[in-house]
Amino acid sequence: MNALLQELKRQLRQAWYRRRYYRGQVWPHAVPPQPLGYLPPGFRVRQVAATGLRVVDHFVTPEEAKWLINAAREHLARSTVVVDGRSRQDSGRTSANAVVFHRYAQDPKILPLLARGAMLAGVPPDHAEQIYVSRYGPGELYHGHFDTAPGFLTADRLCTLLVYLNDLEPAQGGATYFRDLRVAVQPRLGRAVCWTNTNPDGSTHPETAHAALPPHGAGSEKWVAQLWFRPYRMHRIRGRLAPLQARTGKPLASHAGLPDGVSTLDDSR
Amino acid sequence: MHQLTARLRRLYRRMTDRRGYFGARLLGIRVPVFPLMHLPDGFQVEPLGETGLTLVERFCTAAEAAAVIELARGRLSESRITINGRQVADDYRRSQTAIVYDSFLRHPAVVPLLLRAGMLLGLPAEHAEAVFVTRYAADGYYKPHADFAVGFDGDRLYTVLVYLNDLSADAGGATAFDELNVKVRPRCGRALIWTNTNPDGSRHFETRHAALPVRTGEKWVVQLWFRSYPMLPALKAEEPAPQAAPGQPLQGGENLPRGIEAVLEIPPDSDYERAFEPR
Repeated sequence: MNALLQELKRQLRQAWYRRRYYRGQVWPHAVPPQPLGYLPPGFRVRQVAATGLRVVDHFVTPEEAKWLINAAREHLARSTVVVDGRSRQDSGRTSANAVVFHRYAQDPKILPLLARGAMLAGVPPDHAEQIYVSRYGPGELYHGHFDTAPGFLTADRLCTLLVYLNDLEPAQGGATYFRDLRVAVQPRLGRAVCWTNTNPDGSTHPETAHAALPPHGAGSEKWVAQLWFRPYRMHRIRGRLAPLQARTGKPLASHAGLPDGVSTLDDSR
Repeated sequence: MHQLTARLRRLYRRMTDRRGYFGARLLGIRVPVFPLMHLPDGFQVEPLGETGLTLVERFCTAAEAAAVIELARGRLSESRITINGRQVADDYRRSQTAIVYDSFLRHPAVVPLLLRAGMLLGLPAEHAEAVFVTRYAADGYYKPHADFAVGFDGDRLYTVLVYLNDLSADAGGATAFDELNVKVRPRCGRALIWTNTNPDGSRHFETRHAALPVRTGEKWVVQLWFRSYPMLPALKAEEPAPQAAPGQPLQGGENLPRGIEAVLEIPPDSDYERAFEPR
């Protein structure tokens, strides 16, 4: 009798644990695609000492960078700055930029990039603002500024992900310079620099004031993409990332290119 | 008339585009956690060829790993395996297991691991099962097995296996995938991620793996299994504060990534000086 009661209790407990499983059998749970599968090889996060800056290498692939530049090239227009809630041209920002992703132009090629950024920002991808790509020609600069300001157009930007789309040698200039943190970041293809703009209490990080230094030399130019995430939805994203179940396992063929400590089975260690 | 409707449409579009802003103003902004700020230095994701396995280096720091080991050490019991829906001890597996996070024991040491795994997999961290830590002492092993079973246990979508300590090259203890021809040696902070079950219910049978015998020393791992529905209570209370500490300027001598330089002295009459001069 006692054993029977024990068995009954066990079955009831199991059923309680399984209740969500059974609900899923009736109405399947939607499983979102995993951002993991859309990270480029070599995706790596580094901290810049205690400055609060983060550097993400291989945030975009070279193909994506090329696509972003080509998508922006035809639509470039002189950049503007926001003064008193209005957007206007200014001698403090002489670059040109273009919107490559917004409510009415949503190329699915950009969805992996958006998923990656959203993963790091901890918000859904539709919390991203429209994505700008900027071009700095020789001598073009952006004077020191913050990325967020009270008001309407640039408020509530939680974090900035500044993605470099091409390489520039140190001699060519074009670095992103944080005066108060004493950091200069040289553009490097696929690298993203990230920082926090807004705190939960609405205060900002005044130490993240930064400037885009001008590239020098004929023919040198700097391409960057900006991703800003807000704590609320900015626009509906119509496309969906494909689920990744097509990537089935194929056995490893050789030792070549494996990280340290990973080997094929015939390795004796 | 047409122009009027066009203007109205544009006005409506602008308002709906920004309705999140007005809602946030009315209700107060809830700032989410910025996971990137809590990732360890050197966090690196590397897919292993076409195998479908993903290796993550520096998934957790050495201090986090040590905290989890300390938490598990006093709770160990002999590991069991599931046969016909029942948990039984068997010589198919020789190791000790401890539960370090479930509905009753919600220890903050495990939360960073849960959040990071959830971030990579695109699922809320609550979709993880109760967190198990396994200790393989000398001569401990687990013969080839897959992480899914039938029915309820078959819904394990992903496995995240985190190694908590270093083992030298001749100490054994590697994880071997015989069908994928892969062997991964334990290293502190390293994580291995793979898919067990696809959302449509089909399975990756090739992810069969074994824990090879440990020759000397001991091996500590954390298993995180993610399902398509929540298993744990909400983690909101345990999450780290989203407030980022103010950044400290560089003092010189720090280990910086390549391509980043410290500008300790602003060169006179340079771009650095002109970029911030008052206008």
